[in-house]
Amino acid sequence: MSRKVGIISYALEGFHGEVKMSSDELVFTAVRAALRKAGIGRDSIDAVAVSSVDAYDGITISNGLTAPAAGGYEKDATRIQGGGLSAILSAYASILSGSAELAVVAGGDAVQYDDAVISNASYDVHFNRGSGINNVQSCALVATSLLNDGIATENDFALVAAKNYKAGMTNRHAHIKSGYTYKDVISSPMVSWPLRSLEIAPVSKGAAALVLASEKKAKELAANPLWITGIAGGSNTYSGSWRDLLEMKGLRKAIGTAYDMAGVRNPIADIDVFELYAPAAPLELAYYEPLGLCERGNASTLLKNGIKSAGREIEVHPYGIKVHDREIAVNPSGGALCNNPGNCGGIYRAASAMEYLEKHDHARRGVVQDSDINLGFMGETYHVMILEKETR
Amino acid sequence: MKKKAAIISVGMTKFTSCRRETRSRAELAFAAVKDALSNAGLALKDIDASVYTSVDGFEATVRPARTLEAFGQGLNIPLIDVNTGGSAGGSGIKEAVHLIEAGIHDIVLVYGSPTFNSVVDNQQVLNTASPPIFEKPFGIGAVHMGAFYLSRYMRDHDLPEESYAEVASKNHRAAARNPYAHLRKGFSAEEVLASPMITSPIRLLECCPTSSGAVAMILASEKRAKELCDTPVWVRAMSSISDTFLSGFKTYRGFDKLKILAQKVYKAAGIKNPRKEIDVAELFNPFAGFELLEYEAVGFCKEGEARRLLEEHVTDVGGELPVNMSGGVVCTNSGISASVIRHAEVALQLMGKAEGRQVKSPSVGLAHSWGGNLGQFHTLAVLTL
Amino acid sequence: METASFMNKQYNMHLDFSLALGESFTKWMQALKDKKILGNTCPKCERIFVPAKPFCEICFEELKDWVETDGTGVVESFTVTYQKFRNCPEPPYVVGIIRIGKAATCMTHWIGGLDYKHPDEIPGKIKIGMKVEPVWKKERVGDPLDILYFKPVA
Repeated sequence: MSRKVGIISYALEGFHGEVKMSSDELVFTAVRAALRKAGIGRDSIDAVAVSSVDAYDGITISNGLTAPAAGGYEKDATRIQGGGLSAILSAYASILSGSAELAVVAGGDAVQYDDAVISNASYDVHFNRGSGINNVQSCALVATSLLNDGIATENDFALVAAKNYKAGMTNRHAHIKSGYTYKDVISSPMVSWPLRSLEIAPVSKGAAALVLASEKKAKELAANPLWITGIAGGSNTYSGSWRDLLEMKGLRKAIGTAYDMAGVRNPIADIDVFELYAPAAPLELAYYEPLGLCERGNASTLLKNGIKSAGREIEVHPYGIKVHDREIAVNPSGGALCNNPGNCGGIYRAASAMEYLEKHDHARRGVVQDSDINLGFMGETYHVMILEKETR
Repeated sequence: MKKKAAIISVGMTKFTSCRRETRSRAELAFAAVKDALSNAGLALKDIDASVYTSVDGFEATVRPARTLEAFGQGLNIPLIDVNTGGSAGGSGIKEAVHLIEAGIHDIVLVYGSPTFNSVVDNQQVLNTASPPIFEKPFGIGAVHMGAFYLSRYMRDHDLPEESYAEVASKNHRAAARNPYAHLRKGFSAEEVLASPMITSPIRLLECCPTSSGAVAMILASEKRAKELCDTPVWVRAMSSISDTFLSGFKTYRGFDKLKILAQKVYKAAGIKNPRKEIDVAELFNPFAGFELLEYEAVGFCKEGEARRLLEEHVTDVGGELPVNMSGGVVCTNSGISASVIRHAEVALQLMGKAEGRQVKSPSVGLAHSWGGNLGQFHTLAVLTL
Repeated sequence: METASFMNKQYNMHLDFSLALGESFTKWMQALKDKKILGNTCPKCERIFVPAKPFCEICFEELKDWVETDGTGVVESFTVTYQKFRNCPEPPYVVGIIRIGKAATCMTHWIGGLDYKHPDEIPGKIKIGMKVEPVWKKERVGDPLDILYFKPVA
C-alpha cells in the first residue's frame, strides 16, 4: 500500500499589514488559485482541512465561515487549531487512511486584532493570565536563556534578524520587504528585554492553500509533485519544569520522528532548505542544534560563518548558513520576521519551502517546522515535515 | 488491506450542573483520562498522540488544551486541537481514526472538553457563534437555531406538540437509568408540556441543560486493539459533511445534509437497511425534537414517519432500535464532550458495559454529532463488534 | 472534621476585532440605504443569493452580476421567543427565515407588525410560506437593521 502523499500545488494571496477582503473571500481566492494550478475543480476534492484559531478570525466556530470558502460545501471538512502543519498532517492522514484522494489545506488571516491580548487569553486564568504574560514576553523569557546558556549574544540576535530581513527583500510574497539592516535592528527600541522591536515578528494578513494528493492522483495530475516523506509532532509541558521547556523536548521529538520517517541521518548532507517558525529572531538560533545543523553551543558560530565582514559594515548573507562549504538555505523566505500570518503561517512556510525546491535544481529536500508559539510558550506543540522531490 | 481503528476504552466522569460544579477543568480532564487509561490497562506514556476537542470561545480561553497537562504534554506527546463547533467530538474521533488507519500512530487519546462549564449565560455565549452581521443581531442563540427546524417540521407534518414532548420524555426516562447523566428526573410528557415555552416550539424540558463533566476515549490500531481489549469496537465507517455558514440554502424541512452523509457512510460500511441492521444509536438532540428529524435523515423511517416510530416505541427502552439510551444531549449537555459521548455511549453498549442502560447484545451501532451555526456540520459513524 | 472549601473565579475574555466586509457585502449593505434589497448571481448555476456573497460555494465561482429584488419574500421558518437572554431583544420577538423573491438562499430577520397582546397566539398568526415585505427605518446607515422588521403583506 502506498505510503506516499504528494503536494501538487500551492497558492499564496498576500501578504500585507491589512487586507480589504473578508476571511472567506481571502481563503476562497487562495484555494481557487491552488485548484486551478492543480488543474482540478471543486468537485474532485474529497476532504478539506482548515488551519485557524477562532480568536484570529474574530468569530466563534470560525471554520463555519472558512470551510465553504476552502471548497468544503457538502464535503468532509475539519478544522485544526495548532498551526498550518497540524492541518497538513490531518489531510496527510485522511489520504493515507484511504478516506480521501485529494485534499485541500487552507488558512487565511483577514481580521485585525491584537496578538498580544489574544496570546494572553491563552494562558490559564488561575495563575498566569493575570500577570499579563503574552507571546512576546514568553519569547523573551526563552531568549534570556539563550544568553545565559551562552548559545548566542544580543549581537547574534540582531544578526539573525538582519539575515531574515535581507532574504525577505526578494520574496514577492513577503509582508515586510524593507530589508532592515543589522544597524537598524540593534538600534530599534527594546520591547521586552532582551527583544527589540525589529527582532519580533509583525502580524500579517493573507491566505495560503495547498492541494495534497494520493500517490496515484499526484502522478496523474502533477509533473513534479513534492512528496511528504516525514511528518511528526511533539508537545512541551505547560506547568512542568522550565528547564524541560527550554530544552524544547517536544521539538526534538518531532524532529527525531520526522527525520526517522524520511530516512534523514545527516541533516547537513541531506537537507537543502529549512523554513522555520521563529516569531522572535533568537529562536532561529535555538533551533539549529535540535535540527542537527550544529553542536550545542555553536549556533552563533554557525550563523557567523555565513556573515562576511566588509570593512566596518557587516554584510549578511541572505541564507547565512555555510556548513562544510555546502550552502543550506535557512528561511530563504525571510522567515516570520518578514511574514507572520497567525492562521496560515505553517501553510505559508510549506509553500515557501516548495517554492525554493522548485526554483533550485540542486535542491532535493526541505524541512518545514511550525508550532503554535504565536500564542506563546508553555504547552506548545511543534510539527516538522520533510518534503522531497521525486527521485529519478 | 486497509488498517482498522477501534475504540478500546472509555473514561467518563459523572455529569452535574455547571453551577454546582466544584471540580476544575484540569481535575475533570485528569479524571476522565485516568479512567480511560485504567480501563485499557495503559499508562499515559503509552499514548502516541492526543486529540482535544472543544470550542475556544465558549471556554473564554484561546486554545485551552495547552493549559491542561492531562493529555501528556509533560511527556511531549503531540497534541492535536480540533474545533468544528458542536461536532468537534465527532471530528476529533475521525482525526484519531485517520491517524491510526494511516499507520501514523497506534494508540490515540481523544478528549471531549466540558466546554460550557464556566459559562454564565449559555445562550449569550452561543449567540457569539451566530454570523456577526447577518444573524447575530436578531438575538439568535442555539435554541433559536433548533427552533427553525422544529417549527418548520411541525408545520409540514401537522405534528402535534405532544410528539416533541413524548420524545423528550423518552430521553428523560432513559437518563434516569444512566448513572452518569445530568438530568435524571424522568419527566413525563405531561410535565414536559407544562414547562414554559422558550422559543416556539421548544419548551424548557425539551431543551438541553448546561452540564459539566468530561469524557476520554482511547482508540487503537488493529494489532494493539486485539492485544489490549476483549471487545474492541471497530470504526467501520465515519465521515462528516458541511453546509453553508449563513442560513443559505436551508429549508429547515429536515436535516438534508445528514441524509446525504448517512448515504455516504452506509455505503462505506456496507449497510443497506439501517432500520434492520443497526442495533443501537446515539443521535445528537440538544432539542429533543431533533431526534425525530434524525430518524428520517439516517434512514430509520421514511420522511414524515418519525412520529410513528416514536408512537410504536421502536426507539424506546426495550424497543427494536433503541435510540439515546444515555438520555441524549437533552439530558446531558456538557459542551463538546456531548459529541464525544455519543460515540462513547455506543461503544459502551457494544462492549456490554453500559451500566443501568444496557441494550441486549447489540453488535452494530450508529453515533451522530451536530454543530455549528444553524447545524452547519454533522458527523456520523458506524461502530461494530 | 474539616471539609474542603471551593472557590470560584469570575473571568471573561474581551477581544476587539476589525473586519473588512469585502466588496459584495459592502455593496449589498449600501443598497439598503436606498431601501433596495439586492441579490447577486452565479455565472454557472444562475442561482440568486440574498444576502449577496462573494462566491458560490457550489460552483466555486466569484459572483459579479447583480439583480434588484422588489424586497418581498416568503417565510420559510420562524420562532417566537418568550424568554429574555443577555444581549438579546425583549421578548416576545419573532425571528424568521425569509426567502426574498427567487433567491436560492434565505436571510434572517425579525417578523413584526403583529399583535403582541396575546403572546401565546402569535405562532398561530404566522404561516410557513406567508408573504412578507420590509418595513424600513427612516434613518438608514447601510446595515441589515435598516429594515425594522418584515411584516405580512396585506
